Amino acid sequence: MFAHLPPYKSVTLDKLLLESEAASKVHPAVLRLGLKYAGGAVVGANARCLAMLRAFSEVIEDYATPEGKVLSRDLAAQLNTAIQFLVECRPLSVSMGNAIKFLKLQVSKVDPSTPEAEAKQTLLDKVERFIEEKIVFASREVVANAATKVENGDVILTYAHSAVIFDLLLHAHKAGVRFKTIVVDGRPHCEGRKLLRKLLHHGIPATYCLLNSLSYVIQEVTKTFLGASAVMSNGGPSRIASSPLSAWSDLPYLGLLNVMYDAMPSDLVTLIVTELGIIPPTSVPVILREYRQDPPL
Amino acid sequence: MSLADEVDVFCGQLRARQVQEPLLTAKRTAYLMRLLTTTKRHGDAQALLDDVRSWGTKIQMAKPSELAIGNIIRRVLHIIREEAQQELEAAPPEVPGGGTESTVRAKRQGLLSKALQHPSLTAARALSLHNLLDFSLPPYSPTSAEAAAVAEAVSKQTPSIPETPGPGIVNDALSDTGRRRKSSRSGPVWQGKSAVIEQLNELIDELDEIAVAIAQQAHEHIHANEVILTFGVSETTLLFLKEAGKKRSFQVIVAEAAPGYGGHSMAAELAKAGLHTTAIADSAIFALMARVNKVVLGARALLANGGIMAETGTQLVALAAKRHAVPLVVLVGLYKLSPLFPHDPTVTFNDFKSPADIIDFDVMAEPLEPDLAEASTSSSALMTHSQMTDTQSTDGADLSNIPREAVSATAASSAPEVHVLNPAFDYVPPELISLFVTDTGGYTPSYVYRLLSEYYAREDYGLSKELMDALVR
Repeated sequence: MFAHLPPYKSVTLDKLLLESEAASKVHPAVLRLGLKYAGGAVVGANARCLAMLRAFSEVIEDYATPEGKVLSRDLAAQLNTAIQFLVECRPLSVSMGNAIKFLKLQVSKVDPSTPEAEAKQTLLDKVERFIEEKIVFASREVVANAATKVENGDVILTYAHSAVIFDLLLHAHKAGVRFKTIVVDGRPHCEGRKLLRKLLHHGIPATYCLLNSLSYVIQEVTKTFLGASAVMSNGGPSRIASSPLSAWSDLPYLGLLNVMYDAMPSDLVTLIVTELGIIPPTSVPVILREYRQDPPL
Repeated sequence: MSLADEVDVFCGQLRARQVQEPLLTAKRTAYLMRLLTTTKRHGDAQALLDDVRSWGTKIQMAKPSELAIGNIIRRVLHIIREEAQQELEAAPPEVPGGGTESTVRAKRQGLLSKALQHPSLTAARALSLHNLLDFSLPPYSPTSAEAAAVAEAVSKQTPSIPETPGPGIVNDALSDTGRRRKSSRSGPVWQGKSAVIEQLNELIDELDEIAVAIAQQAHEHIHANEVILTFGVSETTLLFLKEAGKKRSFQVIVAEAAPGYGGHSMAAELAKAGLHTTAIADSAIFALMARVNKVVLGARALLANGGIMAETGTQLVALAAKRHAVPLVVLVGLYKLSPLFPHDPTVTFNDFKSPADIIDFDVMAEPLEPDLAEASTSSSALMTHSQMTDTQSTDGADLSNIPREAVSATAASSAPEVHVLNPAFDYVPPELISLFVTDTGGYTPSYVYRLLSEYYAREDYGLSKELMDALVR
């Protein structure tokens, strides 16, 4: 029934080196990153994208064009191998896909006549600028935009952990807005605990409960903020996980399914907060069109 | 052991949450009621009714959130009333020589007017559409004052059911309850009692067979190659799915139902029975609902409006099912049918459990580092049960470091307030439910009000005033 979902397989270094062709060729920084993805050490759309761009910066820095090859072609090929390897570790997030598209475009635009050092420096600068503009600045803008929606006396509900949401709550708290938070959490990752810890650490009052208690807490909630992995994606990547309960595998009829993402219908969303402003979900195509027309950096 | 001792033991177990299962609770209540009926002397039906009600209230007060207790008490009261009513009807007319059909009919007024004039006479048989037209309705128009008086009489509920003129017992038309009470001490024993005890035995047998009776209907509801989603663990649901699995092949998705994780054992049991089972986390319910053909689950209580109280998280399942237009079938024994309305369902019939099931204390203590030392040793714990409804709870071993009182002043000043919520039940409104499969067949939520009048007498709905006060806190 769930054959269409990519099955989960545990990823270890040994296994990768044995099975994956790409693994032996990639830069150590990429290898390290891939294992972190697979092990769940780096999670969240922004964090994953950021980590990937940093790793690629290292790749570019250490890159030396082989004799008789052109930088734009050969580097692109190297990056492709690295990306393929990362996909093997964990399917790409939408944010990573967008960043990769950008990077490839930049690499392909490098003039073959440019000296290697100069070309590398240009690329590194561009990656830095992408990070600055599209991730760091964008996050800050999102937080600033969303913070206008947090008012005194609000009870804000959020699910699991999202870096942007935490920044938002902290921002509002520091601005002196008095509000309460409810952190709703779900198994298996229980990422909400991370958010709860951070909130408590900064002295923000919080209520913690599991997803199942939602009907109980929802009546006092005034606003719900959720971090999204991707907007407009119809059903994100999913994975089938193995269970820590090993005895379960003895039962031939029993399967375990552990999907990673929900596709949330747009009619349940009131507003989407982006770095370009706060928009209703129906206006997402508008933003996408604007993006496409945007001249690349 | 005397009845009082037995009741005390049971109440103690209820308070300590040693008896949790609604079915077990219902059975124990029914046993106690049978014990009460068999061992005590009652002069007439009214004395027995009063006795059952007072003992029943006592048991129910031990755990107001367990509605099955009150339901059984009401069933017992209803049985006694019916018996008394039958005797009344079987009694020969008092007018000598007036044995003709017409005089009997004349004596039996229209039920509606009876209900309005003498609430006592129609106590046992509720007025309903199918008997409303059985009798001719004499012209009668109550003034508003009269109606109010009648309503008061109904609420006070002192039906004086005339004594049966049994052999050897003189029917001296005892209508004064005080006199009758006196006579119950030593004098005559109510003749209808043996019939009542017989019916009580039937009730207890019925409770034993509920799960089987529900499971037998499985083939009507589960079809070949369907995908059935269920939530948490339920004996009834397990039996139901197993029974369906004997004839048909289908797939089951089991949501684990945190924080109890009953779904884990449920999935294992289903797989052992040879059903294709997939266990999922609760957060994946919505994502998978699109592929589900039917949701089948159990309930804790069936309320008068057709809504249910069930394990927490059931409402999310119901909402997801509604969103995807998936039928939601609730398996519920009719001993869970309660005539009470959920006025504030998140709190009214709910219960709160220890937050230790949700999150460990050390997870909370860590971010509050400066206070860590005091927080874990002193009583100023940072984790609280907010709105703890049952102060008698003795759940979990972590009580020592999780007092129920709200955050103390010291803790509040040095660290932010934290609440960890662990409600026990969820309310699912009737509009999210497609069908109830009960031991007597399938019913829609809109039919529940009829079931109520079939199983309970209207004047027993409240049981007693102190109980209603306890429930509507």
